[in-house]
Amino acid sequence: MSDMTSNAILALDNVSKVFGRADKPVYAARSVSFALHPGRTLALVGESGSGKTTAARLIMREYVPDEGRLLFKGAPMGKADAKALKAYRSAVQMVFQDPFAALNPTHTIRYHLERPLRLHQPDLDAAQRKAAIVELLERVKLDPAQMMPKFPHELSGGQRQRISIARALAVNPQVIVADEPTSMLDVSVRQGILNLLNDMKAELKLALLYITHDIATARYVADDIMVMYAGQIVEWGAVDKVLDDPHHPYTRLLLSAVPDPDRRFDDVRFTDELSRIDEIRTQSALPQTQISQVGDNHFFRALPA
Amino acid sequence: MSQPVLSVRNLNIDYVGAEGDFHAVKNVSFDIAPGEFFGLAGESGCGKSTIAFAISRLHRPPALIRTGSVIAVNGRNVLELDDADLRRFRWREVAMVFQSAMNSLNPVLTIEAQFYDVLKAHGPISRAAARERAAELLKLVDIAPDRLDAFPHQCSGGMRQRIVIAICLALNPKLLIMDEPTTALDVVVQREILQRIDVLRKKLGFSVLFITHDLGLMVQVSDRIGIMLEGELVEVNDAQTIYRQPQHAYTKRLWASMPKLRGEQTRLEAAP
Repeated sequence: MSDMTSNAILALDNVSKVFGRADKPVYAARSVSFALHPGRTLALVGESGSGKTTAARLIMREYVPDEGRLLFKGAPMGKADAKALKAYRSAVQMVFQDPFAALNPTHTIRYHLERPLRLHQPDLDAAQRKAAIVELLERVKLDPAQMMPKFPHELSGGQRQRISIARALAVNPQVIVADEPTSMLDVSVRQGILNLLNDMKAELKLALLYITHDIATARYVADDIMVMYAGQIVEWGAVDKVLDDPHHPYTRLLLSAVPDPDRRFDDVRFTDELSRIDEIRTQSALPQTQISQVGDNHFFRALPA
Repeated sequence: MSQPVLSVRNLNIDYVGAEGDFHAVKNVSFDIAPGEFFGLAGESGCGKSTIAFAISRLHRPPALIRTGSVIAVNGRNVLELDDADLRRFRWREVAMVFQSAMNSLNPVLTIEAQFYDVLKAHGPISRAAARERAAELLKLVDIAPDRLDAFPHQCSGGMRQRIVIAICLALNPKLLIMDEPTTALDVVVQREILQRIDVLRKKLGFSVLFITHDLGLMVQVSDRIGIMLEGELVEVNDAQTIYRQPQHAYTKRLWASMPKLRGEQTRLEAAP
């Protein structure tokens, strides 16, 4: 994206990641560029297999880009030394989809929060660490005295996801990557987690990458949105602009398929894209290098003619 | 009005425990008319899946249906069927698509073998005739008949889910129960599948009991909707009323906790 400004804390610059055989490459990321800014949430939406999680893994440095660069505060991470890597790891934290699998069943909640503090802030003494744990639990709206001695299996899904968020916050991160953090939670519990993410962003000036296939929640938490399909970001910009005036056929298909109580299945006004699903998918999977600008903060890739 | 396909009356189900019983379904009554698409919504643990399992008598101990409960399918009380009747009743009258149905296919059998399994269990049929019928059923769910010789792992999740639905339709059931049939799938695939079900029920005339926690989706496709809270059916109304004039406080709270796709966005508070 050409609008990458200098205050970006983290950016992918034209990154590609290819899997599979050389004669049959699968692009999980194709020329992906985006930037995360302090105090802003960027949503990444798309269907399973579109490359959302690959993007998260590139940021977490679980994958090395085949092309392009990962930039942290403007510096390429490709040739970072050990010290820079440690700084990166404490600055960039992840919250996972499955709050049941993300916590170690044999350890208490206190242990889960104490561990990152010991590793990343070795100067704290025991009393200071305990104070930090209490503060973290209060921040995610859990009762510290009650929570600390508990084991993960004693907690509900929503409580566990709050612990995951507290653990990510323990190292004072600047960037949080949340990969489908609410997809395994009930609607009523989901709302609390989304509000928590919104508050974190505002109070701690975090840069948030919110990965989801749920467009309504993306609209709720995000300032900007990117729509991904077959490894490419096909449309991006301010969340309301993209959702109110989608230009790429895949964005339009995705939006017409989103559950929407205002549109009955038999309502013929909204069936155009849905009658051309296979065609739109085939076209949208082709490499698209031509980027068109719709407005101030709204771009899409044009389908090849 | 014609006789309902499904008529549930005073259904009470307990989960029997050592330290007292958990009353999971409390005095629930509702009807589903022929060809009707009925949605049952509520949060995890509200008892909606317990009802679905009870209708096919697939509930297992410690679940216990209390005496006085009636589940009538085409006028016959399912709770009084003996084992032989029950075997004939399942699939032929009521078929069920489970939550992770795409994982309920046998990984070591071809798709064709799994159709044959169902068809031969419910009457004498030659392998060739079964294959022909299976091809016909796959076409109903938009899958090319050459997939019959494929194994489940060679099909995508959405395709496997559609195959399970095709198998469920093999014996022309009067009622199709779908318990969170698309929760594990993407919105586009979810839409494709449910739209197909909607077309098929209009064409073949079966009724649907659709269970989900996605109220927005439910309003789009259902004729009527029941809202469950802690084992009780707190509101039953046509879909548009549930959406536009919800009567029960809990239904209102459910809508209030859902982010909107358009219009003004206000901070939402979690429903208690």
